[in-house]
Amino acid sequence: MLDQSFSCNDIDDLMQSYADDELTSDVRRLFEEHVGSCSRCRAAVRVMEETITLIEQLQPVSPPPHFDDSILASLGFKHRRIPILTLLPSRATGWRLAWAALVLALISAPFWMASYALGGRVRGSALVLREVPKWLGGAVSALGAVPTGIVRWYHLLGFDNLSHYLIQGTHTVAKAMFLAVTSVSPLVPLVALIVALLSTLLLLRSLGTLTVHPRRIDNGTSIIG
Amino acid sequence: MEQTDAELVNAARGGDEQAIRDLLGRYRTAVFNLAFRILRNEEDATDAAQETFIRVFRALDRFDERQRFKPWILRIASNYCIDQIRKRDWRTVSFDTPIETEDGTLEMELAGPGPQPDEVLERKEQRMVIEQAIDSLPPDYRMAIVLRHTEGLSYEEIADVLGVPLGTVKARIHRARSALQKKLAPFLESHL
Repeated sequence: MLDQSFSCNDIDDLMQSYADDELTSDVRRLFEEHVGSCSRCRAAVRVMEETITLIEQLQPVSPPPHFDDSILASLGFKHRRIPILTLLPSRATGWRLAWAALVLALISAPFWMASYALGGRVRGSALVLREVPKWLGGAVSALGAVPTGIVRWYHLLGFDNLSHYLIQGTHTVAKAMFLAVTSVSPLVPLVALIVALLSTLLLLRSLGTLTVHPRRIDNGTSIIG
Repeated sequence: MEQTDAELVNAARGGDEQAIRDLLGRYRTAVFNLAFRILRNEEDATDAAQETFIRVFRALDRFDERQRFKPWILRIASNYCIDQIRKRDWRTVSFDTPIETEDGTLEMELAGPGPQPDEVLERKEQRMVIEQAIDSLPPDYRMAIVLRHTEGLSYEEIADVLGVPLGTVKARIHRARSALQKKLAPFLESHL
């Protein structure tokens, strides 16, 4: 049984062992007795306990996306399908965005034309009426309901200005494109729309493969060692 | 029922892709965090953590199943990170050299006033201060602190991971904590 009392220097020396709960019961009792009566050491113990709590509460940093892919590739696994982002021309974000915008514009163009047709402007144009069969106008109009609906959702969400500019912008572009392509053949917008629908489905399917699932490419030999 | 590490390791030895994915899922964050705390750079940490896993899966036959898997994988990670630091700048490795503990030298770049609620701001500030304090430690102290207080390894396991005697581990952790305590005191005292 220890019967002496501790000084502030003793507390400093024993602080870390106290934090690790490594003091014997006698030493711990003397430690706590001193800390109970000394505001300087009480503050020091509290700072030390808070320091440990802060370190333990530090949020882990997440590894980047696709972290596993190159490991699995190095071990002899390969992706079933190439994720769409790796098809993009550059790793630089600017290039990716530009490329994505171009693809999106190409896919969107037929929808815009369909959207224009939906607005009844096809029937209002003598030029187009002559060249576009009614069934074609109807089919394009029905499919065009999708982008028009999206634009209207913006409106419902309260983005009035955005909705207005989107409608005006798409109308102008759609009109020009529609008149241009139907002057070549009335079938062009329909073919383009079918291609666009298929491209959209492929795009959505590719996005689903961003979390890739690799498979082995060797012939059953162990990849280990 | 969830498979044990030993079961996953056995399956991974046979080339079971799902077992490898499961092991990655379990230890990806721990390995990346250790690498990130040591190398202090996301790109280097990603490379180091990926290289660690490649080495781990290629060396599974050498893993003794009586050991715990986590310390074993962290040992491979820490060895790799130490090698990287040595290659990068040998002067930054200062095993068991005394560390600076002068008071009040921590610079705090607090975020400016903005629309964030006080609590969010305070958490960000707290995180930044503690990260800066940990980053200011020498790599070997940083590693010991992360293994002890972030990964929850025992002193014995840390000694095993770092390949140093138990006393050395304790000394490193105690000195690192004292240094952190001194660096963080001004911040903590103003918030306690």
